[in-house]
Amino acid sequence: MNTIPQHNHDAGRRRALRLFGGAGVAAMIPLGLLPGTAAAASGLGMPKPDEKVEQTLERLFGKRPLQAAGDKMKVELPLIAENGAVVPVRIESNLPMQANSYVKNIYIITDKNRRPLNARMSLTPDAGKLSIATNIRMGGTSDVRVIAETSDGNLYQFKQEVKVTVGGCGG
Amino acid sequence: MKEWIRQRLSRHGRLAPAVLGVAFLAACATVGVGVTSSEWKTNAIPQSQGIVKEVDGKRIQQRYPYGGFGTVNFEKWPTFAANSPAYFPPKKGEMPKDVKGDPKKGQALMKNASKGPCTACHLIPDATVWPAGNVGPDLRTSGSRGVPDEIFYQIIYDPRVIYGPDTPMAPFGASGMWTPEEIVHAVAYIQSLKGNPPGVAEEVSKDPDWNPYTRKVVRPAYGDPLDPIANPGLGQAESLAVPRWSKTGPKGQSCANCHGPIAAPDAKRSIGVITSMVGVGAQYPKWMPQHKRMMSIEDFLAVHAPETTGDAMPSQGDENLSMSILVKMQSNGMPYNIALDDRNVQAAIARGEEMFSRRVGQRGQACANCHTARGGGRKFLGGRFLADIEEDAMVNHPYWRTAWQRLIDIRIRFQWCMTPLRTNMLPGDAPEYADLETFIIAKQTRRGDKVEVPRLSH
Amino acid sequence: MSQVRIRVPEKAKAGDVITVRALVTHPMEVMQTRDGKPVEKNYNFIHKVEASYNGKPVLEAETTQAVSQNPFFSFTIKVNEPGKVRVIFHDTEGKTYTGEADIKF
Repeated sequence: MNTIPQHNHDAGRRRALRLFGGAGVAAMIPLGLLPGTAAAASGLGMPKPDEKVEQTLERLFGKRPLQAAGDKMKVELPLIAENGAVVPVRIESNLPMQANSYVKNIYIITDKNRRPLNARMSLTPDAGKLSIATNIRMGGTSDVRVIAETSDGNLYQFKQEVKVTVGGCGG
Repeated sequence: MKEWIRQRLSRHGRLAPAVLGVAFLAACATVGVGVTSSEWKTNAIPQSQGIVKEVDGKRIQQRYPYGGFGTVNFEKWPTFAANSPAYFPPKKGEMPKDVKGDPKKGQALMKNASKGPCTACHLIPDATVWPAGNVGPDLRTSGSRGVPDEIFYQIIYDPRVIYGPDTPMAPFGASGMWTPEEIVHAVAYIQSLKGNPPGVAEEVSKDPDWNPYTRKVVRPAYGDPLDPIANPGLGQAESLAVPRWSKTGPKGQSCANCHGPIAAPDAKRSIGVITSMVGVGAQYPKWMPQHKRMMSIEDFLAVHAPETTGDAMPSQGDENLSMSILVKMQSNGMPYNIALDDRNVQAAIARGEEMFSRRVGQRGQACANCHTARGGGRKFLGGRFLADIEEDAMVNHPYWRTAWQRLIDIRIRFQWCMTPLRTNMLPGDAPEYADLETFIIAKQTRRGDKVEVPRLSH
Repeated sequence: MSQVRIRVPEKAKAGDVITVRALVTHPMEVMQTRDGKPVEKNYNFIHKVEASYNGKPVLEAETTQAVSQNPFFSFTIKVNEPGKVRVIFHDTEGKTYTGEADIKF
């Protein structure tokens, strides 16, 4: 009797969250190591290999320095997310959006996700200003970074921890 | 020791609402004795029917395939069915003398999700616990109070013996969820918690969110529930309910034939306006004499749609949920308005009140344990901030559940609570669930809470 | 049964920066595991979002499985003339889902 999970409805939620990564999920096997899936992993519909956030940052930005965004960018993220399935992110910035100087890319990165890059959004000066929102998935409590890449190559980073409350009954 | 028990009892002991409910029910026994789930032929979708069957030599309860409902069969434990036997009475435990408690083992057990976890309700000085809850007492200085081991043992074995019948805590030992040896380890751990300095609760984490007593209640900004971009439930409801409204069934009738067309949306009714339905949803659940039971919009549609159009609309199905939203939405902004002066409704409220405090499942816990100030109301159960039936809007169903990305009604919500209670669920359209819903919506009617569907929430 | 919904302001004037909000109903399937191993199959999720105004690209997003089910995006466009916003969601099965909205001056 004791082996029956007490909160097996929550186990289901954890299982669901595990699917897109999350630290501390020891059961996850890095996809790239699995024979047979490595080739398929290059296909669009296949999950890409696991990555540490340092690898993600290096892959995306090489050795270029990340500057603290400070008041250049305002990001709204919940401090505590009731579930990792839907975490609203809203990004506003007063960085210029002119033909000769604009924010070229916005990266949303969840450090502890299996594969940290949530999304990259490429903009043009036609956006007029930087104001973007979307909903991301988080595998568990993690730092979330929003990095703005300007047309002149500067990288401005906002970073905040979002705690995901997985656990407890009901909900 | 006796003095200590007396203090605890005077702090917590009071007449259980169940007793009042039963007395009221007895007074009303001449009216509103409706059908129960044993007589009612369910109109719910198969996953909602609570079917118990044998699969690969094992009895399971068939439940929803999403969300983690699981299929564990709890049929030997009490349910919310009207004819269900009562939970076993408080039981005295006998602390094993030949087991030496190991605080380390106790700590691990108390954090183990399959054992509760204790930390969903009690704070312990362990920074790795996340998210800790505060439904029950803070245990960080429990070992400094000179409480005998036997008392702690009894509290875990069956707390009703110490705190009285309406304690929110489950009888973990008497129900078989914890072995006597495991309880001894937990007691050893609890006794080791002296505080630092002794008697003073230790903040082992600098993070104010670690401590549920200082954690802020944060609601992520999912957006305006009546905005179809923010709330995908509106899109689903529209895509299923609007065509169905004007669809002519085998009996040659459509909803629109009798109830009129759907006009252009307005701010409160963002799927469309149906003039004849304005205010109707706010009156449910309703006593239906022809069916001898209370019925929600969802229950009624499952009967009414096939009766009139010839097309089924099983409850808890997507079409039923969507149509319920379309109908209920016509009352958005209007106060809940169920017929509190109807004696049949009053009887249902009394039955619902009894159910609200009825101990069910292996855990032997009741709705009231989590959703009243006496229990977990407005406290953290792990990371979940629990609603209090006296203060919070617990209705406004169906709603879009962001965690599952789907619409659910209050019955799926009830059924969802059944798994952690370790009790089998009833069919979604069970008359008993209608009574429980009536009890809740009666509170909302008295408070003047307003209808707003579909809500958008975790 | 995927569908795209787009919300834009009812009216705009030259030089306005308008906010476009778009939602596509899509399961954004995530990797399933069985016996601790990922199930070998292709997962269907939106991997690219393209937005344009009168045919001129204004936003392109590369999206992963770590974007929520039923993806939602909000972004801005500086409009100098009336026209059409088009948002195209591409999933990994090669299907596209397109939504359009007119900006009137």
